[in-house]
Amino acid sequence: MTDNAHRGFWGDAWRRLARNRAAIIAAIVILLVTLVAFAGPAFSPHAFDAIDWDNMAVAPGGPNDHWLGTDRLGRDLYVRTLQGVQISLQIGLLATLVSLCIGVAWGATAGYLGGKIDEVMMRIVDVLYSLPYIFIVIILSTLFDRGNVYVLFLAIGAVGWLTMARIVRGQTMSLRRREFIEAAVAGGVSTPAILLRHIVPNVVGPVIIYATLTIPQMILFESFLSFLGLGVQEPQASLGSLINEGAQEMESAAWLLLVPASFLVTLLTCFNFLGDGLRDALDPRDR
Amino acid sequence: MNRTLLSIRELSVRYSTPDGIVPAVNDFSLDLQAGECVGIVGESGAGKSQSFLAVMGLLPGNATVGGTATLGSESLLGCGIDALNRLRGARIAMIFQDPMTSLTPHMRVGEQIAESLVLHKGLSQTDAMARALDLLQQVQVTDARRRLHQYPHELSGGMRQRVMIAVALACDPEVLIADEPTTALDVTVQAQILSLLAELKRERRMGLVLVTHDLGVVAGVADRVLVMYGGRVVESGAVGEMLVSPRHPYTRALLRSMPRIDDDRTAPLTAIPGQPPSPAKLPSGCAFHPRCAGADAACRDQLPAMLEGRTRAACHHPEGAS
Repeated sequence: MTDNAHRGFWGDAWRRLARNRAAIIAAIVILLVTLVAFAGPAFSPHAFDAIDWDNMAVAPGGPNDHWLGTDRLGRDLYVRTLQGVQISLQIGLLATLVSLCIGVAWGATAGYLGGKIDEVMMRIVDVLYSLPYIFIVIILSTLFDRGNVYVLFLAIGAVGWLTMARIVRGQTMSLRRREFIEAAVAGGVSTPAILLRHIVPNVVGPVIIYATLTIPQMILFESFLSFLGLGVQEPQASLGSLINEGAQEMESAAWLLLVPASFLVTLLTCFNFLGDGLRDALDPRDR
Repeated sequence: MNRTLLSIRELSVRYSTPDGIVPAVNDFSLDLQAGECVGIVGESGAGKSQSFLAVMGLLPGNATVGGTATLGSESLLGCGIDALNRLRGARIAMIFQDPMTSLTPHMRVGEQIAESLVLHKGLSQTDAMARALDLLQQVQVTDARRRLHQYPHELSGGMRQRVMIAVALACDPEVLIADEPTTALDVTVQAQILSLLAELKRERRMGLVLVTHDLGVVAGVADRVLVMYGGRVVESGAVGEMLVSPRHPYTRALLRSMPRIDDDRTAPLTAIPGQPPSPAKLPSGCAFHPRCAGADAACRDQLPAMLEGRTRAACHHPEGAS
């Protein structure tokens, strides 16, 4: 896999990714949306929680400076949606990062050490898998302060690492008996150093792929929780809570649903395309 | 003058498999002196690699190792992983058969050499890299300064094996174990690597163990030869005696199966009939008896003892015995 002379694994992967037009467009769109989400609110005269008593539930394109209209309480939808994108993105990244750290550490350790330790560690994963996700999250959301979504998603990341652990374990097991690991062992390199320096960098490919595909899952999950009223609390907005509010008014004010929903759909689609593109680029055998 | 570096006594390796206990190595003993090269020769499955993987603590979990192996005053077997990690890489090092897969693919060559220097000698990264450059030059890597920053896949097979040797030599080990170091290389590169190993051994007065199935490799470099068959040493002696007048029928058969430049070139090469035995189903008595022309009832029933002579041979009817 790495023997493509004079270019290197990453150079090759980059070239394959660059040839994948869908993935490149998706990456550009994600970057643009991120940029707009963080810079955009500054251009609007309105704050995300300010109420405009003169313009309540106005449609987009009206004779005012609410570019995407307002909701029933007269709050600017443009600012609120971008705010929601910010929070959704941050939560997606945070939860993915947490699940990545735990998953990689757990999986690499279990896969490398093998034997009884592996058995015990992976049975713990199996047990956690069989617990209903939403149930755990509801319990966690009552334990933590409900307003603090970051704590909640730290916790979600902490239960969302199971698949990552399995993927990394599988990869590690296939690496463990490779000669370069044996050579490192013969060189007196300690087990933690072998894991950190010789194993983990070699599983980076599948880990990146899976992480890219986890981000949209986490965003969707956040939206789901916010839709249920367990996630982001008023007056803060996330894409999920905005869609929830919009859904209640979809017959009279469809833009309240359509605007945040189109952002969500765009982001999720792009992350999935990017993840697929990365998978093809980093793991050409699986095509 | 002669100092014993590595002493292996009655080493045995047994695997517990679903089909029962499989003995891979039996009663393997070796004393390696400073500045000496010992060749270990045998067919696949003869236990030659297994013996030294056991010494380095590299066997999988289902293997049981018996006997003793001492490096100077330190025991290598059953000394605990931390003690072992202080020895291996620092005082006893190993290089492997396939230089294509023995270097970590994502690490630059220099970093891989520096790793053990930082680990065992406590050098700073900068000092270790300077020393790595020095080592690359010692193993005669051309354009060493540039190679230092290249990845393994950018090097040729022979170059990679030189890098492997540099990694192994980084901490000035007393003993170097080379497990089929030239098998994966083409013939001209083989010769270069072997003469490099011989030269390094001489300069550093290192003990060198050369595990190979190629008698030609041994003839060029080794001072002493151990021939293994079915997990046991069947004959050992000085390289001159072993190649000219071996006493064990297996060694003789091995030699007859190999072309020699100084020999009657019209004489046919004879293959050894049959297959090398699987360690799981070793024949009774002398493990070589099913393939040996001179075998009799004693060979079938009794394990032959080591007989002293020009060479030490484990055979009931050694050549040159009265």
